[in-house]
Amino acid sequence: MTDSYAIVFEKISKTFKHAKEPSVYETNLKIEKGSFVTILGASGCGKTTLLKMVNRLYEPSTGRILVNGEDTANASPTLLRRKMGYVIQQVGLFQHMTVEQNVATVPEVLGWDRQKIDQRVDALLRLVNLPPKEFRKRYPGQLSGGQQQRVGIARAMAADPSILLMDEPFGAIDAINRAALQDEILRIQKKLHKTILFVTHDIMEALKLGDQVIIMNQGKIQQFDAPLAILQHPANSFVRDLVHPEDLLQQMAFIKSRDVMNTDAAVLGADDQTPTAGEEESLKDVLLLLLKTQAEYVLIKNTEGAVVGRISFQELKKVGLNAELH
Amino acid sequence: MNLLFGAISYIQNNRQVFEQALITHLELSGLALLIGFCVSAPLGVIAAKHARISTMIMSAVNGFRVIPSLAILVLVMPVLGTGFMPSLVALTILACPPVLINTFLGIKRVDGEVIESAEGMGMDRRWILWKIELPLASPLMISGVRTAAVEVISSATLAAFIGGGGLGTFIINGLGLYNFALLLVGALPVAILAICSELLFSLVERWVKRYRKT
Ligand SMILES: Nc1ncnc2c1ncn2[C@@H]1O[C@H](COP(=O)(O)OP(=O)(O)OP(=O)(O)O)[C@@H](O)[C@H]1O
Ligand SMILES: [Mg+2]
Repeated sequence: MTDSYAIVFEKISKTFKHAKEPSVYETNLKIEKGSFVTILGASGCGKTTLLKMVNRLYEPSTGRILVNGEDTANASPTLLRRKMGYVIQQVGLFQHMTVEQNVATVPEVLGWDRQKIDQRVDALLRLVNLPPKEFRKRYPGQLSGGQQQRVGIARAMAADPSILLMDEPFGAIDAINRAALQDEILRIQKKLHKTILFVTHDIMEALKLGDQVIIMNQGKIQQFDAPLAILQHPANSFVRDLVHPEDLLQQMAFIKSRDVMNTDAAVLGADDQTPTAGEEESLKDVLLLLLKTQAEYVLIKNTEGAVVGRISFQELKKVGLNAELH
Repeated sequence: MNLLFGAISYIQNNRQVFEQALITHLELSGLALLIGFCVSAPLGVIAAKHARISTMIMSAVNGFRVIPSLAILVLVMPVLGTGFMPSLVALTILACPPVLINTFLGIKRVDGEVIESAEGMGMDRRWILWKIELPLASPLMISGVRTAAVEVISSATLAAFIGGGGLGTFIINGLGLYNFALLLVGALPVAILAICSELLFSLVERWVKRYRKT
């Protein structure tokens, strides 16, 4: 059933004019609806090219792309694009327009009425944590890099597209703001269930954000899998060298459960089958426990034996992310 | 000082003549500027969009640019005769190059990423031109108009040579009669007009650039 897929790449390849080698070799991919998929690879490996074929900024040399079951080649490019959010590498906000005008771009193209646009702009700015009162009338030049990125995201979501294409949206942002923006986009995705294709060349970002990760090298997909699966079973030596799973495990051996567990009381409910671990135990052990028991999470007990938190793959994922791998 | 008083009393005594000359001067410059803009701004856009004809247009414009204004006035005379029309044509030709060149540069300089991001959001060519490219090019375009305005206002003085009227008439007569007060009647208002237009367009330019960091 193609219907459960938001985007399907069928034998897609791209060779630019006058180029000797394809920038993207024949590729087959199926992106599930509502999934967050990150595209990871070194500079020049074809990430942007792959992404731009989806909204036809580039035309594929071979193959076809189905978006929500329909061949994009049959759609008008402008109409197709209005149904997808697009955040370009390097933001690309319109400097001569205020924040509100930027965000209102697509609704205006679509001819929404003023009031509806106004409400939408407010809602979106709130969604990306920019108080409308303060930010609506500002020009991009009066915003920090991180704030501009937020506006870029709000703008891409303006017409409520089910698919978001994001090309290294956080590329130019410092580490702290970057982490905040990553959490933001995760929160938004959890809330709105968009299908997101997110290009990055930051391994931690790819593993943190992605439900699934596409790893590319020199125009070829190396692996397309969930982050943990990639760490556990790298498909080839390229992927292994890229993600250094051994390093990650080594790191995990030095991190204590106490430091990453989810202490939210609401999630602590458990039955007898749930595996448990002490709060001083290393994440490496917790991970092994999770893999061995195939449980969804491990409950963490303090020295008195009381349950104080839990760790699921979710929390492990977050660690992977903050650890410096190199 | 005497000269200045002489000029002022001449204006007071010949109000109608002066006003007529002033109006003609303004009409000539204003119309030349307007027509020049309407012709050269679209040409500038076309040149910026089509690499093949851009070199042609741009070299033609640069060619025109080196011809002095008086020469243009004199050159249109054999073709169009004398009077208001030929003056207007000559001044319009003068007004074109700065506007055309700046429109061309303004559009060319719009960031490719900005255009791509507009395309990526599903804007069509028309929208991109009107909502993105022209607004982003407008500061440069207006600075072109500013240059053109000053040039046209001062060159309109020369229109008097080919019977186009305007404030230049006083200058020519003043020179001919060795009457420097009369010369000032023409020269001073022209200078003031030129400065005013410079100020006016600077303000407009500032306004369209308001989004840049202050
Ligand atoms: N418009 C184009 N014309 C010709 N070649 C291109 C074009 N765009 C990209 N390429 C080539 O295709 C290859 C892949 O480029 P692409 O932009 O997809 O890389 P990327 O993975 O996004 O890199 P980065 O991380 O630097 O953005 C590169 O070798 C690049 O030179
Ligand atoms: Mg790229």
